[in-house]
Amino acid sequence: MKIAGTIPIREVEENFINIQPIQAAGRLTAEAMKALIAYGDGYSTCDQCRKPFRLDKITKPPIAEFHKDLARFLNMDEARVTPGARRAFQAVCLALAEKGDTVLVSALGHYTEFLAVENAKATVREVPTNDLNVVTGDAVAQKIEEVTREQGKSPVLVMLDHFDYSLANEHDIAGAAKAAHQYDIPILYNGAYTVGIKPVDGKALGVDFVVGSGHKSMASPAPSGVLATTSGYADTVFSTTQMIGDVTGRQFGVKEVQMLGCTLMGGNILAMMASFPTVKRRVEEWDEYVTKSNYVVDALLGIKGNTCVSEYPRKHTLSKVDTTGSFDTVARTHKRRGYFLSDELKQRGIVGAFSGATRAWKLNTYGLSWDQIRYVADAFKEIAGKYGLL
Amino acid sequence: MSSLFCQQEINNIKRLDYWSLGMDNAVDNLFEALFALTDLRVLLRETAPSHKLSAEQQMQARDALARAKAALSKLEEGLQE
Repeated sequence: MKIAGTIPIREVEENFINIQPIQAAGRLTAEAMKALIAYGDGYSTCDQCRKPFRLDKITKPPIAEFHKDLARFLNMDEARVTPGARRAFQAVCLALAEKGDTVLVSALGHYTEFLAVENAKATVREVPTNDLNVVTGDAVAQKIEEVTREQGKSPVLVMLDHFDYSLANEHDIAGAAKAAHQYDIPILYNGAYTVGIKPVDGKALGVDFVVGSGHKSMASPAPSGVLATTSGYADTVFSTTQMIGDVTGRQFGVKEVQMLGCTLMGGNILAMMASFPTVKRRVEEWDEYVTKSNYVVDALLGIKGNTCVSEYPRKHTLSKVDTTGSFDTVARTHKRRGYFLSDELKQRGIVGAFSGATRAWKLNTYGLSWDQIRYVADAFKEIAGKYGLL
Repeated sequence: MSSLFCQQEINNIKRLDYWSLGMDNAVDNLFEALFALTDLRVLLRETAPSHKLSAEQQMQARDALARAKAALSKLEEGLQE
């Protein structure tokens, strides 16, 4: 079956258990799928757009209320939806940084943080991790001191992932916020791997900006995301245009510069809104999902030669494991080489492990039921048994 | 099913009587069928890869199918010969 004669139906989620590291928490809810069916047309949010003609002011459908809900959900004062977390990084960097400025990011920071800083013509400096691959508040303070000594001025922003994309280790956000504020530097909480799957309280953490990814962790289509901030920074990051056309004299009053006006104007925001009741409920089930994650990782660690590269026991559903001492030994002589593992998994209805990888690779068990979790754990053990690795 | 527009606005639309149900009912039933099938789709996701349904999931699947069938039947009935 093909759409428009060329696009195959995507039935990955219907036919397989998908443990792909970045797809797990972006899977849509039924309600989000229904919203996409009803609101897929381009400017579908705009049927009842009235003065002042801005996305976050639309009351029908209740987009304005959703923005308030998002801010409450993150315990921040103001929120906007963005086309992904990366556009939120970009908005904050463009608002706060300029040429010659320095922005601190984690040594495990996402590449889009680098791009956002570069886009503002500022420079990235990395805060190193400790022996446990964790960024601490002390490390942030030391880096601030180092940069200030070298450049004669402080960094203008600290961006830190709560759980990083690489190992999904938990970093000391509260400690980093305390350190940054001691030097009067604002801090951005990168919650791409937390907002929408675990509770996030921006004010309790002491951060100035909370960024989340809709398509990564809020059961929403790509691109979608959220940028929330305090009342103290809202006017800066959500500043409105002051520009006046020299020929026409046109002004666009309420349009927000860093948002480039309206952001998510179609099915994406409606799907995000439709998933939101489920998202609010599911963050309360985070501990259960972490327990399930540890169940699968424990099964992998039960196979001789395997190690967990991420911190262990797991505090997240995304994990990096090293199977060089087990599955990779099979790959060395198997006719399919490293692809044997993904072949074996696929035959058991499991996809998402990086094809061909048998050394260090990542998996994410978010959203799976206990039946599916046990099935995945048993599948790894069964494959190991088949190749004499137990 | 609620709409962005009030029912009066929808009722006031001048339509040729292609569909004897009235177009608003046709649209409602169309979405009802699509949404019921979406619920079924999510059940397939939740039970992948075996698609072995628990007793409760069987009930949910039957309910979704019944809703889809009912909506499709109304659409079919409304089509004029």
